[in-house]
Amino acid sequence: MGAARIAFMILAFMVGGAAAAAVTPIGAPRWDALSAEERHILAPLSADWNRMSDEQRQKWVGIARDHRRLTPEEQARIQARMKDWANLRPEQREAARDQYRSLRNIPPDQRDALREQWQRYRSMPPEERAVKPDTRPQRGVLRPAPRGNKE
Amino acid sequence: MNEQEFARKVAAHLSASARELDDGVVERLRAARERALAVQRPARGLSRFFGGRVGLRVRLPAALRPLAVSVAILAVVVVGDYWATWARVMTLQEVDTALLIDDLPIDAYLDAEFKAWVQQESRS
Repeated sequence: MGAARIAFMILAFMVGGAAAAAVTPIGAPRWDALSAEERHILAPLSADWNRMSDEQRQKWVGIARDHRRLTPEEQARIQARMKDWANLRPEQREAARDQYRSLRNIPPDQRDALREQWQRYRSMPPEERAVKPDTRPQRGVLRPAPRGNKE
Repeated sequence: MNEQEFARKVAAHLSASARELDDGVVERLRAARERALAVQRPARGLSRFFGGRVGLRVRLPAALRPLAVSVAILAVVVVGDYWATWARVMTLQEVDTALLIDDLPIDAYLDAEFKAWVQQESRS
C-alpha cells in the first residue's frame, strides 16, 4: 500500500512537471495569432518569429502592447533596431544588457554626455581607443615585503 | 462508605439508567462521544507538522488524501513556475525596451571597451 502510494505520487509529479513545461510561458502566440496592430509593429521580426523561443515571443508581444505609450521618435527607433537586436546571439544580448545597466548607473551629469562620448569614441582610430592602465596609487593596497627581510 | 465504593455505586446506577434511555438519546450520546474522540485524536501528517492547529475542514476519504496532497503540491509548482517565467519575461521586456529606445545605438552596448573608455575619460 505504501509503495503504491509513493509510486502514485512520483507519477503525479512527473505528469505535473510535464504540464508545467507545457503551459510555460502561457500564451506565446504564433505569427498568425497576433493582432493586425501587433503584426504591423513587429513586422521586422516576421521572418524569424516562429523560430524564436517562447519567452522571446512573449517579450516582443509585451513590447508591442506598450508601443503606443512611446513617443513617435522612440517608436521609430525601436522598430529600426528590433531586427538587429533579435539577430544577436543570446550571450551578446545579455552582455549588452549588462553594459546598459552599468552605463546607466553613472552620475546623471556624465550620463548626458554619453552620446557625445560615443561619437568621439567612434571617430577615433582603434589604437587611440585603447584604455591606458590606471597608474594612480591605489588606496588600501599593500606592497609586498622585500625578500629576505626577516623580522 | 469509602470513596471507591461510592464511585462504584454511582457507576452502577448510571449504567442501569443508561439501559433505560430511548434509542434517540443513545444515538445522540454515541455521536457526541465520537466527536469528542475525534477532537482528542493526535494530529497526523501535515496537521502534526503545523502543530495540529491547521487542518482541512473538509473530510476526505483516506484513499483520496495522497491525491489531494499531490494536487496541492503540483498546483504550487505550476503557479510558481508560471510566476517565475512571467517575472523573467517582464524584466527582459523592461530592459530591452529601455535599451532599444535609448539615444545610444546598440553597438555602444555591444562594445565592451567603450565602457572602460568612458570610465577612463571620467577619471582624467
